[in-house]
Amino acid sequence: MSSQIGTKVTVNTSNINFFLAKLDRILNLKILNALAFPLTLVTLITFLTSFFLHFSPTIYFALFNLMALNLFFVNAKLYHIFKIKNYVPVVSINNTLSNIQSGNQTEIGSLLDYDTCRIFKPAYLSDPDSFFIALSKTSQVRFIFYKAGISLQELVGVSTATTIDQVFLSSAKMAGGFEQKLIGSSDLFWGFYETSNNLRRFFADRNLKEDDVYNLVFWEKTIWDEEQKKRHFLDPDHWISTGGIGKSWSAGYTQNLDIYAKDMTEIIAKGLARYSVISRMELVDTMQTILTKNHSHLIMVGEAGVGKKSLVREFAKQVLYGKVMPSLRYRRILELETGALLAGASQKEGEVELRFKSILDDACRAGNIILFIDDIDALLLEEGQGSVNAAQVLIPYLESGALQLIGATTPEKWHKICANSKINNYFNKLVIPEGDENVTLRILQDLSFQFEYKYKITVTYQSLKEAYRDAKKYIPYKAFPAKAIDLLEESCIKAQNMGLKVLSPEIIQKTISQNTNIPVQEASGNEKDVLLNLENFLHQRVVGQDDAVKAVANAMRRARAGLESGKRPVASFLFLGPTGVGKTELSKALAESYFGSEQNMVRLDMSEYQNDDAIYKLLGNDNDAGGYLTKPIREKPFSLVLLDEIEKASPDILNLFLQILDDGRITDNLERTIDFTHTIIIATSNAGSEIIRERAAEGNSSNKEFAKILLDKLLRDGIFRPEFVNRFDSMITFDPLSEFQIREIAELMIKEIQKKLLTERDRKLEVTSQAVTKLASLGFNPQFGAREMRRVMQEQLENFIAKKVLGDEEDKDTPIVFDVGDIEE
Amino acid sequence: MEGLLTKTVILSFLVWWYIEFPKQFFTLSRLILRNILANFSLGQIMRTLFSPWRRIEAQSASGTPKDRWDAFTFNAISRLVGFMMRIGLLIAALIVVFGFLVLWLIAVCLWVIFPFLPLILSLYSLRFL
Repeated sequence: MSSQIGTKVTVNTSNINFFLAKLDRILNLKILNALAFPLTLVTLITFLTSFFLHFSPTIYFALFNLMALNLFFVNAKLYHIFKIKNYVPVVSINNTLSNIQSGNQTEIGSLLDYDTCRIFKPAYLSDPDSFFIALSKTSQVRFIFYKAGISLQELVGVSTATTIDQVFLSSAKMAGGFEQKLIGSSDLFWGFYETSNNLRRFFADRNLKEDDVYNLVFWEKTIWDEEQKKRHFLDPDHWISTGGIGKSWSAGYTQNLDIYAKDMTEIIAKGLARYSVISRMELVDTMQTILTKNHSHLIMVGEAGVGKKSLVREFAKQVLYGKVMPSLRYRRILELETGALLAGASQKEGEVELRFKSILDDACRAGNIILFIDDIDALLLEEGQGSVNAAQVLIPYLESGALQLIGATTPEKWHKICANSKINNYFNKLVIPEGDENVTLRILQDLSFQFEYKYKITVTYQSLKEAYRDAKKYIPYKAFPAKAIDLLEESCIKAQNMGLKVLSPEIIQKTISQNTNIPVQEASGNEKDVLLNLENFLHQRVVGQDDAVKAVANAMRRARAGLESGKRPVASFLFLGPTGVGKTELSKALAESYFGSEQNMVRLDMSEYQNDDAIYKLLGNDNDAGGYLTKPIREKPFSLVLLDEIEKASPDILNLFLQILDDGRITDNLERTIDFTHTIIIATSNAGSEIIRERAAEGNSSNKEFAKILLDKLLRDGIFRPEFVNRFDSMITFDPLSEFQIREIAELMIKEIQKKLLTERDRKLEVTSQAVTKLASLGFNPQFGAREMRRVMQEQLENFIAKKVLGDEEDKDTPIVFDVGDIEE
Repeated sequence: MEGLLTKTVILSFLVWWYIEFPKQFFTLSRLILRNILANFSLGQIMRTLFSPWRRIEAQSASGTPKDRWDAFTFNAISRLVGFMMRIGLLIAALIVVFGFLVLWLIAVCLWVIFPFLPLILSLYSLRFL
């Protein structure tokens, strides 16, 4: 039956593929396939028994009919496997496309795959919405919705508002782009998506942009579809061999090598390796090209986590199955375990070299080895305890051509190896770049099947995207794809432990939050309230200083709302004010609220960096693991950096901070880039304190006008350079503390002491109001701020408590009472 | 309608069996034979028929006549062992290939009547009624 649908495209449902689709469904029936084996078994047994026993005619009648049935089934299965599953249309998709685009009427029915043929009805041609609904029930499109985390119920009421011929045209282009022979239901899904604004809006409302939907279709086509298809008998890949007995007999034994190396080809053959190199096959091809040349060795250079070992595994797989040039086929790829080689060998000098030599001799003698050494720098650079320089041992073997070597290392180590020896001349270098977003997502999609199987959990597309996004933002010192893979796997484990069946983006956020102590999730519930009322939270630790608290709270709200640029620190402040007024306390409160703990703070006293060569203290020397500034930030990129007395630092050091404040990055002593884009930087200074105190004494607190006057003075006096001050987000002046504020501070300090006494000594402390007033008046000193109050607390209250506790005069249940009479003047 | 479908099925099957399937059958046979030969690595066996077993060879360290004689004897034994192992493998490979070829010939002979065998057997069963 031919159905006309538009001006260009027709669908003839009498095409053979529609008919074969029905047969395919019947012959795929599980019950049919399940009956085959017992049926054959019964027939065979009866047939064989008939030679020894004499059966009745009825039994013979049944036997011959059973045999006929078996042979009929064999015929049917052969037809199914070789014809039905191997259906190839007469016309090609590209020719059909050209025909449509030329404006000719084109029959497209013969190009539809079986899934589509089974659900297709002529009535759909005038009813695209029903067609789309029917399409969404095919296995391919169900996979797409499943991975997108969208249930089919959500489609109810959605009108596609498109035409069938547009859909077919777009789907044919999609299928042609993948060099397919047939148009599948996922191609038609894409056709609907691309031509329907309503569907685009439907997915956009669920945070799925065009790229995301394309990735989902790609996922279905390249990975899931391949997993579903059983390898066809006529596919040469079904009959690949792994080299044969004769091949292995022509190679030598490798006794020493087997102790210190593991056979990657054997591990691949057993299916024990978990890796993915999807979208990176061109790198594997390059490896093959390099190693096919005689006497050539390969060095793979890339940051840790870019996938060097995965590429070697894929190369090993190709070598194992002979999918390489003849000179490389069926060889053994052994990975040297450098740890085992170096372990226990430090007693005797030269023992490692001897071991290494014996391994290399074995490899040469075997004649079919490609040796892979991961972190080859451990054998070529003598750095740190336990390392050796075995370059001189290795070079003769590299020259001989009796074995081939693949090494892997980081760019930084390779640079050092090249500087220290000539061994780099023997290697061909292959740079392995970090995976970009597309490559990483494809790899995550590929590996997600393994995680789903292992952890019994469904991984949605959104969780893959979240893993990529969070890994990029919060794990700056590792490379893709490894950091995203690790984050995804850790989240799967977490979800499994929580008893969940679906991995959602929120679990990924929780995982990264736990690892970094940063609140990654979108602010919700209590946290929103806290953020909106952040000033109150900060005032729990900082008395007064309303302007400072407000400026800091605003910056944090901007950061949690996702408005930070990502190219500079999260926020940077210059705190000016007398000593003891709360500059450091506010910094600590900020570190606690934004980074989860006061411990996530790097505090530097800039008065120690008054000389120009003190810069090496911050960045590190050549021999150091890092400086006082770079090392902690490298280890904990999410930290608050507090620079006390910044005006005392040398001009060179201030220049360093110009770069940090502007660019969010500096380079350390080992030429590594240190990322400050996740830090908050606070510089404090007592400069201008006199003016601030004078103004306070007049009864005026700081305001914007005063801030300008103060700034002008500081610039005129040369305390700071304009370009330095200009780089801060905000310059905040702290007022001296009033007597009333000192009393508040006294109350805070007393509460702290009460809490500590109760926790550690299980004793209660009561301080009378008069005593508090008296303490506050003793502790009030505009020159020294809250520190004077601290000293008074220690001298008066803490000494009193200590005497009471050690004296042991009273019952432990009796509270310790401190009254004004207990104060010593 | 159903009668038409049945006729289409039978016709489609017969067309496929007698015109398309032979090509596919030869392709499949070629793949299977190649796989068998690859698993035995016949080419490699022939090339290394007299090579030392697993490349185990002795060298004369001192160069004295006795040392050289010892090395020669050792290497001869190694080659003999290699030869015997490989000949055994060669014979096994030839047996497997022969068996495959026999089965293949039977399949080719049956090919002509195979689609009709179910009908023939069914009709034959009637004589037992």
